[in-house]
Amino acid sequence: MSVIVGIDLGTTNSCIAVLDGGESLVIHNQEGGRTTPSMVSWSESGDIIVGVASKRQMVTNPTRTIYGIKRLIGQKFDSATVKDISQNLPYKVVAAPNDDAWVEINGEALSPQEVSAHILGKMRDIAKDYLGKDIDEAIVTVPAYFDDVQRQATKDAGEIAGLSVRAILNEPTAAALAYGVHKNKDQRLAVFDLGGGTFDISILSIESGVFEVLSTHGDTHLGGDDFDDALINLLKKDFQDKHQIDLSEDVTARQRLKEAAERAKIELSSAMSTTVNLPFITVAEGAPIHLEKEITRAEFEGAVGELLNNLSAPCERALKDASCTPDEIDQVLLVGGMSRMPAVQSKVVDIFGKEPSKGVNPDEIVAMGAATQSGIMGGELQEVVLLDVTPHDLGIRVASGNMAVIVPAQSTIPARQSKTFATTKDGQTFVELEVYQGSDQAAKNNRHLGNFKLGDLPAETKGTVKVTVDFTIDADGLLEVTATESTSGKAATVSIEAHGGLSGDDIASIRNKAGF
Amino acid sequence: MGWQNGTDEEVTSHLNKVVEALSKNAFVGDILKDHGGSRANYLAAVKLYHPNRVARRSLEIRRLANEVFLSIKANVSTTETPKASEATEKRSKKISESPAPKMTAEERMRQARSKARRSRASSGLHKQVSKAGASTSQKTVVKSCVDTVLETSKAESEHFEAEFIAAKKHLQEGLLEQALLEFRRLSVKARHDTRLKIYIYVAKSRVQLKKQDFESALKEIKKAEEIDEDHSVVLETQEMIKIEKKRGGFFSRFLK
Repeated sequence: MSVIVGIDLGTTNSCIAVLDGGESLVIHNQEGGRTTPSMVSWSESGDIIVGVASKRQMVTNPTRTIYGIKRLIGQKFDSATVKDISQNLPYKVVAAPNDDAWVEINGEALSPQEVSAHILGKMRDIAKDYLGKDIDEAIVTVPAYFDDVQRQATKDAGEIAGLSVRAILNEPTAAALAYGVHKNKDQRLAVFDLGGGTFDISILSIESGVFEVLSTHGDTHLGGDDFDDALINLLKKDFQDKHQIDLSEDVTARQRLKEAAERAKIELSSAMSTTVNLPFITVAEGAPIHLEKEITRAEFEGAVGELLNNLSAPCERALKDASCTPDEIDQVLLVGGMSRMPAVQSKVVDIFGKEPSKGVNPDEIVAMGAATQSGIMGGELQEVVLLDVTPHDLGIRVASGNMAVIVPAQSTIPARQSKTFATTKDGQTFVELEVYQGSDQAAKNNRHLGNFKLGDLPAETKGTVKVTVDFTIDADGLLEVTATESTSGKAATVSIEAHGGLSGDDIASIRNKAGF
Repeated sequence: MGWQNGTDEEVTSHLNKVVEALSKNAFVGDILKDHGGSRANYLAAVKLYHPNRVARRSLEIRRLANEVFLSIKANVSTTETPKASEATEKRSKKISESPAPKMTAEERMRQARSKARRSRASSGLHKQVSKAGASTSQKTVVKSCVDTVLETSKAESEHFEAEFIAAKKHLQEGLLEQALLEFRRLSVKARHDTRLKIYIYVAKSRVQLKKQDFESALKEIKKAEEIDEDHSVVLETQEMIKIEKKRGGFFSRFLK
């Protein structure tokens, strides 16, 4: 049987691991690094550079270097989130024909799936070089709070890269799996995952080898990039106060600021202050101007105070949904590079009342967990199993425009739930079922996943014809909806597969064009 | 283990047999008779038959494995329910036949809580309808949701109560860790049920008592006391701690 690799497709960095003799092994890239920057660049002539080499030339090629693509995948162009993110990006975000957010390179619009496929392709090549054989199956991790459209788009990216994505695994769950797989200890874990672009918190119980997710919450738009932006704004403001020049308009200056801010942020995790020194950042009246600023840890923490505060609410909700008090949590695992920031760790202590667990590498543990899951799926690991949950409510739109929840969030999958509805008009002979995912009471504010019709209903007075709607979610996250009319037993079943924004033909043509 | 390693025909046939057994409620008794208690059965069964075990097999096998998993979720509870629902039935019969004053305080509280919960759920949902100024046709749709919700809640609450009784029994039998796990598990399902909070603290307190850590035992029981100081199990545990303290942990040695 072929090898299934585990890939942590991160916002900032990606990591790949494989199961070797029951143990997860992180594979280093061709440059010797254990993680690879999630960056893709296009040269003027159209050559594609991925990973470390792309990061190296991001300052000189800012408009054609794509980073943080994970924040755009499965998003609509006119969403508030995309508007907010694209303000600080040196590359152009454009609307696709289907209104999805795409990026523009050399005048051509590219989908986030295609960009992500280049990163996944690079990760596959890393594994291929190391293992000396072709890799065509993978488990790819995503933030737990990703919805089905974002998950499907990630799966499509894998398909473009020529990978059969065997499972889409939640990042915090993967981390818990890697942490607890050989521990043989029943316990409750909180996994606090603050990555480059997203924040997830999951509460799990480990009991007799069964890893059961009790609750999960998060914010798909809170991560290291936001901390970088806060630092960039601090530097820009200081520069403007001193020189009355706004660096926002200068794409190259912005990219240099981004690079410097990220470095300063990392340094401030171990030092109390650091100096950002960017010579020749711009030119005024024919003379070069340098940017030099000393930033203290306190100054940085002040600038990101609001972001730090935003970490509390999802944790509190997750604890509440898991019916746990902080003192019932045995271990708090920190995942994601941003969790190294001392102020983030203090926040964790404030929320959970205990020091987080040390001894796991927050950059690698997710990929290791994905590799562990490959062992469960491949039969090498028989003593453990993972029970994950659906992070968002699933339901149908009812006549009031509200969403009637059929499978509530935090339901263990596979799951099956049903609810009975009645017709709302005299002589009504069909019902149109619109399936939504999300937590808003109004269906229109949630993610529309699909619809289908059940016809040939008996033409009776309103309220007398009953239709039972069954939702079944399988282990792969595929939703099957069946509607049955109670008296005749007439039924219609459809598989609702979230549409990631690309059709099968689109995927095939991108694949051919990109040469995967 | 290893059923998943057979040929497609063997695996399909095995899963079909399991599905059939589950449909006859025979699963736990026939296949997992070595595991005691519903939680242990559930964990052992999901570990053995989780669809991920056949993630690389054909769609048909994966579909069957999903069915098995869903049936386990339903069936483990059903298999455990006969005894438990018998107990629940007996108890409710007893309650309806007994004159009101003879009901225990705990039973009265439980009944009142359950009634209040049902009434809150119903009135809350009906309120939503009137608040939104829904038309009659909209009301019909929402009303049918209300009925469904209440119907489901009734079945779930019967099963829930049966599991709660089983956990309490384990607590009384001194199977403290097991009882604690079961109460915690139940508290996930009913996070607003204060009884579970009380029983979790009680179980924790008795675990500490077993270790003869009187200070921690008192600390835990104090938390339960803050919720309901007159609860019989709280009073009983306080008494146990008192006696144990006096006798230097003599009885704790006999707790399993």
